[in-house]
Amino acid sequence: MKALLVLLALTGTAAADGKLGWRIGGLRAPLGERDLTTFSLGLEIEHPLACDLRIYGEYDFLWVTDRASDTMDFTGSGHRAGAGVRHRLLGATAARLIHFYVDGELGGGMVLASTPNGAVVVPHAIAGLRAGYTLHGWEPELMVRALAAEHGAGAMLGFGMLWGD
Amino acid sequence: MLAHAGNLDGVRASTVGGDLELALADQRWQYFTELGGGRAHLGDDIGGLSGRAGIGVRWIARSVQLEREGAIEMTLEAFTGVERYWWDTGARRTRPDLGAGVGWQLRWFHHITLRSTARVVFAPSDRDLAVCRGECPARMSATNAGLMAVIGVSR
Repeated sequence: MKALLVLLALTGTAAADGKLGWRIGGLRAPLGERDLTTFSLGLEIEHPLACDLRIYGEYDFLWVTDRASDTMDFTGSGHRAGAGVRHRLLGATAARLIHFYVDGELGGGMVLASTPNGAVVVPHAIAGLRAGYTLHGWEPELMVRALAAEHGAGAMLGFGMLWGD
Repeated sequence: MLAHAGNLDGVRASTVGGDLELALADQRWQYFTELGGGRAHLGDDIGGLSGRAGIGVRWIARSVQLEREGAIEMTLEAFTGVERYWWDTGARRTRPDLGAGVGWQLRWFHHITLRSTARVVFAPSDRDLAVCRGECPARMSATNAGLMAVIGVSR
């Protein structure tokens, strides 16, 4: 239910200037003392800071799935909030219509999730790449992230879309 | 088409099937009813059928015009409904759900719309009916959460 409240809050922010979008993805990372797989559904808002630098805030709802033992599956849920900056590394425009890009990003966040060992809070740092294109202010993109947390490193993959003003 | 992966009283559950939607549009808002169902699985061993009826509201949060031919739009939606499971073992289970989703739609003016939505779905857990094979989690959440994907065409 907390996720619904966060989604509603971000929905309210949607009316503000900047880019708004969503993404789906997967995360494999040490949550607590064990590596867990989660699937995520998230919202993101972005604002430009300088010409090729943008700041973003994001929220992901996490669905945690794992085999807790030989005889029992575990499914749980969680939340991830984060913020960071992204900067254009490469860009090319085709036919004066579509702009292809590769962006680098640095950021951090916090995961709160239920695991087979109970609830965990995992602060983490991220570094990643995003590749996509812009068409009339619409940006579909792929995302690859490395994640560093207290008990090790993980990876996050995602596909999402952003809409401009 | 719909696919739902979630949790039913502590056990992983999934459904793959179809979904039929009837909606009324008002500017950037849509008010919809939906009826869906499909083949369901509980854990690794139990199969069955599931059905779901729901209502919801959808908002076109952002829209990008593609010349004069159409638009690519971002949608946000909230919904509630009732799920019913008929397991092959003879067991039955009914539960309400509540959720929110995000999606995108490609709209050709005066023609058809292709829409894809990803949803977060919450349903209450019945701890007394928990199905645990071998052992149960020490703390079972009062709420079951899951993800649902819906892909379809409308006009």
